[in-house]
Parts: sequence; C-alpha cells; structure tokens
Amino acid sequence: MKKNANEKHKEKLLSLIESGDVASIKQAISLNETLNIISESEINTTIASQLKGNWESPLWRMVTTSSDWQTFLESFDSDSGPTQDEWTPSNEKEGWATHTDPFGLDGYVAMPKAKRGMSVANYGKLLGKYIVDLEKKVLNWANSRPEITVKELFVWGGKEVLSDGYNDSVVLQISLDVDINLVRYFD
Amino acid sequence: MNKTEYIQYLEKILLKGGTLYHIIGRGIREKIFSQDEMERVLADIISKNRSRLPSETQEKFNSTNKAWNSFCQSFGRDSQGDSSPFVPSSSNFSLKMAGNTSLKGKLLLPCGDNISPSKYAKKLAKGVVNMQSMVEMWANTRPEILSVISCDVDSRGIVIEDYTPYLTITVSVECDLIAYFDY
Repeated sequence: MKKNANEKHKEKLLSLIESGDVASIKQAISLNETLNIISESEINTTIASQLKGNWESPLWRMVTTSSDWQTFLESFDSDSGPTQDEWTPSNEKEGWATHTDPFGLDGYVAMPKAKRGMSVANYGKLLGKYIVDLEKKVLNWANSRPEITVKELFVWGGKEVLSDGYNDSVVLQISLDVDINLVRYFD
Repeated sequence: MNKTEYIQYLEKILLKGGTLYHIIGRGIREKIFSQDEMERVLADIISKNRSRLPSETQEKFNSTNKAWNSFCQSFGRDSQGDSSPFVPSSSNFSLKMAGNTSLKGKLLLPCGDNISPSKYAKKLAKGVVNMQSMVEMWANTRPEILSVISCDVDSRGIVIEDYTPYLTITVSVECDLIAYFDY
C-alpha cells in the first residue's frame, strides 16, 4: 500500500513539473523536499524536457532572465563598446544538459586597446593581466550562481581573438562549460 | 676642398655608383663635415636624387626593407589549416631625414588552442613582450641601425584583418646612413 501511495505522490509531483507552470514546479519541488520521493536528477531531467523547444514559455523566460551572464559580460568596462553573449542550450538533441553534458556559456569580451605611445612590451603585460583578471571574474561569477557547477573555462583555439563585427572592436572569445542544476532556480 | 665642392663630389660619385667609403672617411677625417653633418648631407643627396640612384645603391637601402619584411613574416603561424605567410603591407624604411626614422610592421599574435584564459594570457603576454625583445635583437644585427629609440604598439591595440589578429608596431630607430657605404 505504501509503495502505491509513493507512486501516486510521485505521479502527482511529476505531473506538476510536467505542466511547465512555474508556480506548479515550485510547489512540486517544495513538496518533494518533505516527501523525498523523486531524485533531484529526475526533477532536473523533467524540467529540462519542459524547457526543450518551449522558448516562448514563462519557464524558459524565468530561467534565462534569472541568469545574469549577459549583465555580467556587459559589466566589463571597456572603450570597445558593449559585449555580446549567448545563452545556448548545450545541444539540440539532449536539450538542457544536467549533470551529464556541460552547458556552454559563450562570451565575447572586449580586449583592451593600447595607450598612445605604449611600448609593445607594456601592451603585452597589459593584455596578460587583463585576461588573468577576466578569468578570475568569470569564475567568481560562476561560483556566485547556485545553479552552476563549473566544468571548464577556455578560450577558443585558433579563434580566440576576433572582430566583434559591430563596432570595430576586438573581442576575446571564451566559453564557460557548466553543469546546471535547474532545481536551484526554484529555491 | 670646401663644403660645397665636397658635396658636389660626393653626389657625383654616389650617382656613378662609385665607392663612397673612402670619400666619406676622408670628409670626416679632414673635418669638412662632422659625422652627424655627414649623415644629413648624405640624406639630402639621396632624397634629392631618389630616382637617379644606381641600382646597387638602391639595393643597399632596400636590404633594410627586405630584412624587416622577413623579420615580420617570421611571426607567421599555423592556425586551423591557414598557414599562408603574412606579408606586412605597411613596412617602410624612410630616408627622408638622417638620424631617426621608423619601421612599421604587422606582427601576428600567438594563438590559443582551447586553453584556459590564464594560460592564454601567459602565452599572449610572453609572445608580445618577446616581440619587443626580438625587434631589438633584430635591430642589433643591422649595421645601419644604431639603436632602437622606441618600439610602440598602435593605439588600437590588437587589430583583426582577414580573421587574423595582429599588432601594428612602429619601431623608431636611430639610423646611420654611412653604414650603408661601409663596404
């Protein structure tokens, strides 16, 4: 009998999540904290299935707007103008990756220009310091996000520095591979 | 021989493609001109007769350009199959005046290869700092360059051309025109 009751609860909770409704998902997660009958991994997968393809849904908007990757990228003070960002599902087949495939956050961060009369060596040092600081800031940002576990941060090989194509500035192309725990969005 | 006569003589020999080494040496030894003055005299003669210089003399001046171009090209790189050599288009050795002049060049930046930003930062910083050392080492191999006054980067910083990042640098050098005629 107990098993059947748990199954019924589970079905109920999953149906709340599968509704895709933000309030219902919150309710399901909250109830599960008490009942503890669905694993976090399963909740993640179920939420991910609701996100897949539903790019206009309130759920998608909640997840994307609560991520401030874009705001973070734009926070880099630069003479080269604003940076761009992409908030991209890891791949179309898998949908949202949770705990298995990392999720890629791509960023284009404006590179510093030189000062008038700056020596080549000093510009080299400036570039080095800027990028080292950038890495620290990106990792600090990621660590401040409860939904994110960092997998890897790298510059794009062979295409690490490129023109942004809009305002004639030069940008560094970085990619932050992360695992995303969708449940954390509903904490 | 007074200064005017000496200049006329020097110009005549220069345009004939004769050996200037002894004539220049004599002019300095006999204090017709100081070494600095001799540089300016030579620069004036060369500027005035640019199109009439014998090919051998032109070749001597061009040797700096060629060496500079080769040096700039030595920064070429293989990047995702694109290994075409890079030829600096703005390389220029100006002889408008004796003394200081500048060399312009485009030097390719080292690439990343999917490494962490901090590793790339080290690679990039080391590569760019080394560029200046290499420019100075190259200048030391050239007898016509007395010293490097400055080695500056274009204020735009990194520039992208044909999807390739490079630095445009300007190397101000103290040059010695007499050195071209030291053999």
